Amino acid sequence: MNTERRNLRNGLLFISPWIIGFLFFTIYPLFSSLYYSLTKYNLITEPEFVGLQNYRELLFVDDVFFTVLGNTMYMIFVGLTLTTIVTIFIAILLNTKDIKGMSFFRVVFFIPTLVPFVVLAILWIWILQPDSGVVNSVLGLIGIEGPGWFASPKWAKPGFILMMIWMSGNMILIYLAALGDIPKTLYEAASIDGANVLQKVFHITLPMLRPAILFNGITGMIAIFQSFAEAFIITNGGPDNATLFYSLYLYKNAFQYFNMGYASAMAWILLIIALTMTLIFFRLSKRWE
Amino acid sequence: MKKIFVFLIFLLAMSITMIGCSSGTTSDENENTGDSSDSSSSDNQGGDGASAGSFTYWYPWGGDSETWDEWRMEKYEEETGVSIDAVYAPPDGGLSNGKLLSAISGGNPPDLVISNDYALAYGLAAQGALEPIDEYLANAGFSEDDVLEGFVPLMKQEDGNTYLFPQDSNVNLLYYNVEMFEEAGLDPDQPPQTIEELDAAAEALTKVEGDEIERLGFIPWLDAGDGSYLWGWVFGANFFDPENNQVTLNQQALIDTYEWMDGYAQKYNPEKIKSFTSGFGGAFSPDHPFFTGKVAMTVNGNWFANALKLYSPDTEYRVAAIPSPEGGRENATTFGTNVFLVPKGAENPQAAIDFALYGSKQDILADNINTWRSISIWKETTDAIEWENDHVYDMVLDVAASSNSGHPALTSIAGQMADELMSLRDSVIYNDNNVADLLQAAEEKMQKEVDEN
Repeated sequence: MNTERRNLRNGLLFISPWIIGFLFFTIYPLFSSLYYSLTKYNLITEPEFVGLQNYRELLFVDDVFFTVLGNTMYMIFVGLTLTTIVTIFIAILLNTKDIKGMSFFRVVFFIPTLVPFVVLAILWIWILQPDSGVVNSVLGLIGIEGPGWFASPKWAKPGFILMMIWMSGNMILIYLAALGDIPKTLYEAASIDGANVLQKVFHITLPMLRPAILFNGITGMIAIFQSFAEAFIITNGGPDNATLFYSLYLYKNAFQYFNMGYASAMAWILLIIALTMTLIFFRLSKRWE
Repeated sequence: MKKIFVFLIFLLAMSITMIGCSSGTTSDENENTGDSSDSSSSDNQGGDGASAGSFTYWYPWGGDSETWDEWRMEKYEEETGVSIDAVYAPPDGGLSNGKLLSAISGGNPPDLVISNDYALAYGLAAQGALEPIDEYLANAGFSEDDVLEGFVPLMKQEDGNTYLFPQDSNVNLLYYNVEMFEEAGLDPDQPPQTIEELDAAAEALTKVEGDEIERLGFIPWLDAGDGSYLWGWVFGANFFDPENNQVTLNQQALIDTYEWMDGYAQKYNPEKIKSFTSGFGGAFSPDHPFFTGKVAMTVNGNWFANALKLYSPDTEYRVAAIPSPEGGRENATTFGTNVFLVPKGAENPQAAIDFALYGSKQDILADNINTWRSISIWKETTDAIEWENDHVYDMVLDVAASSNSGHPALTSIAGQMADELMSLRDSVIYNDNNVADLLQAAEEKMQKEVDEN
């Protein structure tokens, strides 16, 4: 046996636990869900093949599906955009070198990401409690009557966006690392040319952060498509379906309505949407270059 | 040397994978062998019924209810020698969160589950996820004639087999604050009986100053009123016609129900109402709006009397039957029945059913009722019940015995229909949408689900 082949064999052996796990726990479920998406299946009785009926129903009949998709898209286009702006702003502030104790503030912004989802959800029920919560109490002090937050179909999603921003410490961390990679010489050159702070941010910082923004954008988008626990605990989709997000509706179909085939079809549509949006992100990011 | 090293790594990798893949089955086998040896040994001990051994039991409750159930299990284990492997499965025995369904389809279900969501349990039975229990009930000496008529339809499916066994039940009542009644010039001895009287009392009890709500007399969708079926049932609706397999949502009774709710929404602004009442705690916390005086009347289960005793002992309250409109169901409630079920593929169903029936033994049943003011499903009552001359319990019994009380929407899609009606209600109260149109659309959608199942 020559060295190359032996190395290949050894290499494969070394990663074999992962390969086996990948085949059994990722590839098999993936393709079985594709099959189930073409069936009527309640997990108990044998699946019954129905062709593309589940997809047809989702796309042309089920109006809740579009409400759900709309809610999720709102979180991506409004929520993720706001989160990105806020996190970059915070990262730039935290990157200031000449303030003492900056590492303390960096830790402060990261701490919320260590809180488990369930605890976080219950904490935010409190924070955004319309009658006596912290946010509305503070708003009351400056004469603003706070909204109903999770009790209001209009304000429930903005409530979730606030939560999202609060726990975006991971994003801040990535932006901080990317900011550290920007060569100082660029700023120095700009200063010599007479650029002000805003010009530096828009012409040096943001373009140099592009790969980090792309990464955070894609992972953030996928996280929003998958987000489930917060809405499940806080609102269970209400009021008036305002917080019925994609994963929550998928879960309800799968485990509460016994429509596993329908839920599988939803999962595949989700995959296609996420894939398409990722490709668009990549395209846009290239054009920006 | 190198070859041996590579071989060892390979062996390690394979064994880790094998262990990973097979842990489920190995533990299953262990359980199986454990079961069979156990059952033979306790058969010899002459247990309660024909079977014994050990069985797995999922229950949904925490807190005091859990303590009570643990007491019952311990007592049963002592008396029979059967060992119970009890698993806490919130929020309803693992029915609504997929835990039970996954266990059944994975071939590793518990032997017995108790659930506080009878509608979902009924749906599971209709989907074929449960084991028929007639044979085991018969072996344990159970006779259907001993059960109150109101509970029999819940136990059975179309095929004539029995799938659910009720442990006990709860009713919903109107709770009202006596002090506030007197303050508003209402007679606490004459609680509202009709919807008109309820609305008038609510109006008199409400305190709004300018834009600020200080107190609301009544909110239809608070507490038990938030359930999808209660008000519709009281207004006289039948959500489903089992004989013709027809969903019947677009009917006058339901139109009236939601238009009545919309009246409250338009008057006080639904967002304001929800903000005003959305405390952090549920009924078992001092934060409930009835305890804090934010609402003067509310509809809730009989167990709420226990919560009042614990968290708001100074509130002077009384109870009455839920007010109903003309042509609706007088003196009625939807039951909140706790049911036992045996999942398909259970290994020791007889032991499970023996335990389920143990709860109906006189002393256990009496203790249950004395602790929780719950309702027995049996025609014959026991002398050990201590609630005589208790005004709440008198009303509980009165409403429970009413022929107007029942389990609405016994269908395979009860859970989905409940969600549909909930979002329909929100659509009406938040957006003032046309009720009849929404009901027609919901009826068609649900009918399609029924036809497909």
